[in-house]
Amino acid sequence: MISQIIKIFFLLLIIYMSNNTLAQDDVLDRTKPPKPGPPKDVQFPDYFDTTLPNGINVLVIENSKIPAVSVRMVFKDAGSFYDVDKFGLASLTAEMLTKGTTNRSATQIAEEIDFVGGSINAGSDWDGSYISLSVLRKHLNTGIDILADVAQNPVFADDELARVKEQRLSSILQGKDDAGHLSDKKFNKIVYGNLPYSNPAEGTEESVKSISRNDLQDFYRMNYYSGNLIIAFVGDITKEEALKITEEKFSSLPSEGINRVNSYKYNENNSAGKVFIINKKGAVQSNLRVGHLGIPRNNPDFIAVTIMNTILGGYFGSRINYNLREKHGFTYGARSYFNPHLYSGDFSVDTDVRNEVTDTSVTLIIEELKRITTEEITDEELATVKNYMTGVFPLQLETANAVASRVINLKLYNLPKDYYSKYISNINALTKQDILNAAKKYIDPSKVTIVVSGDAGAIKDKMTRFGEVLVFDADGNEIK
Amino acid sequence: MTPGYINKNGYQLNLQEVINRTVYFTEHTLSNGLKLILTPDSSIPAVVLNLCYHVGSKNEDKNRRGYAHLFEHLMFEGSTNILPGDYDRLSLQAGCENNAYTTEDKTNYYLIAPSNQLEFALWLESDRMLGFSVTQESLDVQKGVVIEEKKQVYDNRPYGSVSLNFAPLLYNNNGYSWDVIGDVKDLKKATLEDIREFYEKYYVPNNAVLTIAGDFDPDDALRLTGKYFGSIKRGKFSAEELSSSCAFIDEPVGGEVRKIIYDDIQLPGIFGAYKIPKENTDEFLAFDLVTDILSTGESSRLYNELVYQKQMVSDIGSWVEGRELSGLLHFYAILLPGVKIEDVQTEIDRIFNDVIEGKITGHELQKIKNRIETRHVYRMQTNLAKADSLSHFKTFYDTPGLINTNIERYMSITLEDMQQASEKYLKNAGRVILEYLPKSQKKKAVKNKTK
Repeated sequence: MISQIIKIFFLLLIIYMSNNTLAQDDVLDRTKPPKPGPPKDVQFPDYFDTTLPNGINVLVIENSKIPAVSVRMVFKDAGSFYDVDKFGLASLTAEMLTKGTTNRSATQIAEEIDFVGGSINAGSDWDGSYISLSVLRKHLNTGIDILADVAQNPVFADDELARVKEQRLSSILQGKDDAGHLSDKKFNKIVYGNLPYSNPAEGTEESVKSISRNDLQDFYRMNYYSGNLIIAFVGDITKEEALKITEEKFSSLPSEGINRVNSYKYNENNSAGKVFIINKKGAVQSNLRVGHLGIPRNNPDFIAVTIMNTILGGYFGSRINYNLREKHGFTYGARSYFNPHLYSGDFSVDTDVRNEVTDTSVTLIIEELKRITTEEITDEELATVKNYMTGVFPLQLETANAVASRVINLKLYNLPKDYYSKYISNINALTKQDILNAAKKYIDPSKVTIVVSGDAGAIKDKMTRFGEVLVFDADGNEIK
Repeated sequence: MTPGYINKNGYQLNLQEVINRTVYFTEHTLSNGLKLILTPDSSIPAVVLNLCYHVGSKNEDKNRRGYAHLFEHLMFEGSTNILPGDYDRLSLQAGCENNAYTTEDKTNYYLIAPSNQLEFALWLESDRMLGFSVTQESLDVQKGVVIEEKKQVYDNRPYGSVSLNFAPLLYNNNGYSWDVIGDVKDLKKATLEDIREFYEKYYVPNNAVLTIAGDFDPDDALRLTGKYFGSIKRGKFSAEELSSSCAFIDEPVGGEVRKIIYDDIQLPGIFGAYKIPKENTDEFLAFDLVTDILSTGESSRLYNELVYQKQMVSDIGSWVEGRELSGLLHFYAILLPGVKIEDVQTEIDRIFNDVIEGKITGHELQKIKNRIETRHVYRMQTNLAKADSLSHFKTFYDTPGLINTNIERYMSITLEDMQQASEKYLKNAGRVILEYLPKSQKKKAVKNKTK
């Protein structure tokens, strides 16, 4: 049957190709853009959402466009935030899940999942720990068996931990070569003050060396439990299958985490008006961060802040990119971000500029921050960003995994269930005054911290106009 | 030929079971020579325009290195009816996403529009094929942007200069002897006249393939493409003349060429490349499988032996790079502290030698075919990826159907194919090796010398 369709199709193709001169009968006015047709409605896809008696939240985002399934396990509010003083603990714990279970060695896990052309990855970020399986539908059973095993029966063997730590230490070492990484580390350290977000999630040489098998086991018992587990089944799978799999294969986790505490309070930092340079001798560009504390993901103004930031520096057509790249040619690109976490967030303008214009670029950035916080945006800016966000929304729903990421975020950040069905109408309801209010409320040009990774010898003197300049090496030690 | 293979677990996987996701498309040619491919898919209300010009850095004169890529930037700077800055402004206003990239062989532009903006997208995209109107001011600004791009992506990034160092050592005196980003001295002296000449030669309908993918009515798309692209004049040269004007004479790499680069890095790295047959040849596909067997997944040979078992390196990889007129097989490793480059080199050579001697097993071959199948399925997920592949296969091989048939070619590759190709192109073959060392070691090397 299928081959018949293909044959007919190729016949049609040949007919098309033989008749290859196309009519040009329409009258052509190229001076004005053609009018759009009526817009099509974009619906956020339906999904299945239930919580089992043991606390597991099962999500099913069904889509049979391709014969593949992803299963994403998310342990909510169980990430690097809980490292305490053992920086890197959450990420090492996650990484070690696939390095041996009571049933399989690390080598067996790798071999079995590779053989079916699938992948299993485990990792963590500030707000959660994750294990995900991606596999063709026909190999789903094999994939599920391995996933269930690594999630529920990890052994955290000492020899495997030694390997993983060795790898981690080398990546920490490599991080010292990367200007952007150095800037982020310093920026987070200063801006987040005593919140855990100020710490390096990958760990430090010292902290990684100090982490033992016991630490991993404690972290696992504290943070991997069914009461904070979301399992999202994504792709070519039904809800009946998903529920059956969850009940049969994922029932051995405890319902509560052991010894969980979260008692962090934020104290405001007083680093505004200072410039922090991480010295990279001979660097041909300055990697810049200009910003301050932002907002958590579930802040009710998040959509207004996103639209405001898009105009400021969130996309190619933004003010900051236009000013630094398209007008001055100082950089390959400049962007601003509100980077949200569960309990807090940060705001920064990020760019790489040539050494000679480092100070000028900071001045231009601060001027843009002042402008967005004092003047209303134009009607055209607002219309453009609304059209853009509406236009690209369907692209964010093109794959089942992209949809799943959004559904998982609703859960991870305690957002309302109708967040995405109202997303476009909420954007379109925003006024110029809303944007100005969001900017005034969440951006303060007088409070920015300035961080630069670059050649201190070439830029230090010029940066004193922004305040006291402190210079550090790649290890974070101050150079006097 | 028996397509099946019984693996050691006893179950059979054969060709008939392989999932082939057919991408349906139609092909058309406008009277001015523009080739058009249509592939409807209404899963989301968006449409992709992918426009591939058959010109890349290999078409540049050797004292105008980087012009193809600079030109890509300038294509966003205005055309007959579009003012400077308006390409992006109008495209964002219409809810579109756009970008472009340049390789040695092609310059590829895409515009993703809401489906009700198809006509707008064709209008916008056709205008920059219709006529050149870049100003001196735009040229000056974009030279600055490209020079900063080079610094950010190549110069100021650890190991970032690998491709810059490889190009002249791998290719002597042809269009692949320099990297796509080009040369800052050449870029600085680019004039509007140079740019116009380049545009008039290459940015013509008969040197381009347009693929439209997504939610549209094929009759509408045909009519509208005719309306906006149909009246654009053919270029001075035919596509064949343009291809043959770029003479490609290539010599094998003579023996082992080594270069030491002192970089701002903590860990030494080794980067190697062999020349192999060009993209889309059967041998190139065989090497694609070989390199996957070597380094895809934690159970692969290089990863399992050198990262996991012997703990000599932190990262390792091997892959093929296909070009229109040549192919490369790359490998690299970043060393763990205290490990010597020559020891890692010995290990990599030993593993390559096993491949040359035919020591890859049927189990490994089946494993990697399963991987290829998964990849094939996932690659068909987005309209942008489908459009990019169709344009690519049409531009270089006049066979967009390779998007559907390549999977069968991969599945029919045998252990013998891989062994024979490896013996022919890797055994005692010339190669280029770059050793990246921390700058701190340079000082030591100098000190040792003076002693």
